[in-house]
Amino acid sequence: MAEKEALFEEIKQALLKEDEEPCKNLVKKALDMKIPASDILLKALQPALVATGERYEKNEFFLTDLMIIGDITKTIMDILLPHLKAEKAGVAGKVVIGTVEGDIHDIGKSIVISVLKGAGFEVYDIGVDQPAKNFVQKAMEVNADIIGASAILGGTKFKVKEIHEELKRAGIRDKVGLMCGGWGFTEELAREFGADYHGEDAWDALKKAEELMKVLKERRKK
Amino acid sequence: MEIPSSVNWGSLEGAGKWFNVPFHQIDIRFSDEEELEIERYCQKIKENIEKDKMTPMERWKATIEGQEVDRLLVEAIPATPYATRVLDGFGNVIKPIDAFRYPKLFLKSQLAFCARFGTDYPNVYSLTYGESEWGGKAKLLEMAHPVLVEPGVKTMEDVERLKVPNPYRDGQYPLMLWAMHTMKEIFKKHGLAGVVPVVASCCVRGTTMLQLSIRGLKQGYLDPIKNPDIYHKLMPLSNELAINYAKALRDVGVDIVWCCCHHATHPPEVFKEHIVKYDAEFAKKSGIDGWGYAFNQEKHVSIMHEAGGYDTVKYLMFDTLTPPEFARKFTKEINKPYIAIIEDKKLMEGPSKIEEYVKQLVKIGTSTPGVGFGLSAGTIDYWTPPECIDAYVKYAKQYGKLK
Repeated sequence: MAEKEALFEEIKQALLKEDEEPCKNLVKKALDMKIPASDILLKALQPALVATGERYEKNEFFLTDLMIIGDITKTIMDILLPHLKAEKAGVAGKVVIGTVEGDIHDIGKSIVISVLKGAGFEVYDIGVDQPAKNFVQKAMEVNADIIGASAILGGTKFKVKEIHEELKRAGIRDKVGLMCGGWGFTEELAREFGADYHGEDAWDALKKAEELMKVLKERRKK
Repeated sequence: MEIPSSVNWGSLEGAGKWFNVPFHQIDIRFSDEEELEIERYCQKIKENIEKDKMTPMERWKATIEGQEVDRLLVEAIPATPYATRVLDGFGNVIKPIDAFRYPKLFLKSQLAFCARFGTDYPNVYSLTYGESEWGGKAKLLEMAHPVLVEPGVKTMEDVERLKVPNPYRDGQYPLMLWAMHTMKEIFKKHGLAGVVPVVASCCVRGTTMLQLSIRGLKQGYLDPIKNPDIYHKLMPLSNELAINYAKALRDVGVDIVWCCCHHATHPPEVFKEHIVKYDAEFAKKSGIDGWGYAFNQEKHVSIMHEAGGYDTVKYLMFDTLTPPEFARKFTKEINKPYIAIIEDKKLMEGPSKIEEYVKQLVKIGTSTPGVGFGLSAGTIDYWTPPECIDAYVKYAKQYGKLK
């Protein structure tokens, strides 16, 4: 037991130190020890990602730290995903994510993807500069719970409204949650454009995605 | 049209007819109606300032010298996407892309913003967030600044082939120079030269240019950490264009040239080891007047100071991600004026919150007599309601009244 806990701590520390190879090797070691992938996710990766967010808030981590840790998390998730599927570990939710048409930023989106994956969400990244219909088509194809739209540049934020309208046209707006994020977004603007929630940063996006999943579950019961 | 010979030829999707036309070959005339429109903007700018004891230029100089002012400097950085909204009365009909393709619209939108909102002077933000002059594929976006879609520099061999673009000749740069030169000529014609300064940023520059235009956003940020060899090979080239561009802005008539800077995207130790020397060199050689900061700079400015990055600049601007108390204390220590920027997100919180922010900033900023202080806002998000800008200008002038 203590050995497992120590290993989780080592994985967490390796991720926080941005040491990709040691981190990967420790995760592989944990899997070799027959530790469930879901435990690695919940007890090593998630705490590391929470600590990353806290350090960024405290000005101890910087944008490039988030980018590097995000990339390592993606690699780790690629290792864990087949095991999670084999374990039939519950998926926290399915998210289709992309950057809206007319915008090509993807740094923030990548960090959000890592944090969501690290929390057990199944994430489908459709890329940048994506028209509203592509978000909705993908959501229908994978039976997504949530669409996440990233929009940073100037006037592109209103494209979130187009996704909202496209969801309505497809008749699935009440079944699929819509979240948005990107520098300059406010909760008020997000609501004005039809989104259910706005993620202030990757960790806020995770919190809101979890809240939204609860709301959607309640809606589906009715 | 003369095709520049030295450029690492990329492409700018959606480019206008003046793209890549050398500065001295840009022949743009105003119609009688446009002359009238411009005259009206200038009249309004004059009306806005005539009740004040000091002209904006006098206020600017006094702020820099740490002398008494009638009220605080009140500036704003609308950036092109927001400035274009003023041109059609916030009808959202004219698109930002129009101003990036047609320099007259670019110029008029900046004059219109200053006239409409009553800021002390037009403060013209960078023309581009991505360009093809370094061999990549860039794109003009309908609603935002141009962006780089595919970087042209992926290997060290690509770096070896690079030539430094010429701001008088290549890409969108001559358009910006034309607009700033023409603004100065307009000010001369209408009695505003020397009264209202022509202000422009020379962003994008140095490390930022590397990220946005040469290597792509993510790769550019990671290069100092992951590919220091490429980074250090590219930075002198990137800096060369940035320095030449800042000088060119000055040469065509800009009175105040400032530059935005993102030190705090990287850990302090990375900034110190890899980045600061280029930023400091840029400041010294370009002759910029000020640095404008985003992100929390608490751990980075002392490194920049030690490297001499503030030796030649006249003022520092910080948005409130850097705690204003820290910004004031630091600028006092190095005896430079502090211009506090209320950033886009705060501007969107509405007039009553804006009033609070202005009051707080004025209190903090004016706590060190003899070291100048001013207020700025921006860059303003496209969706910011105009009443928020009105509120900012109103409260900044009201609470910034010092005598």
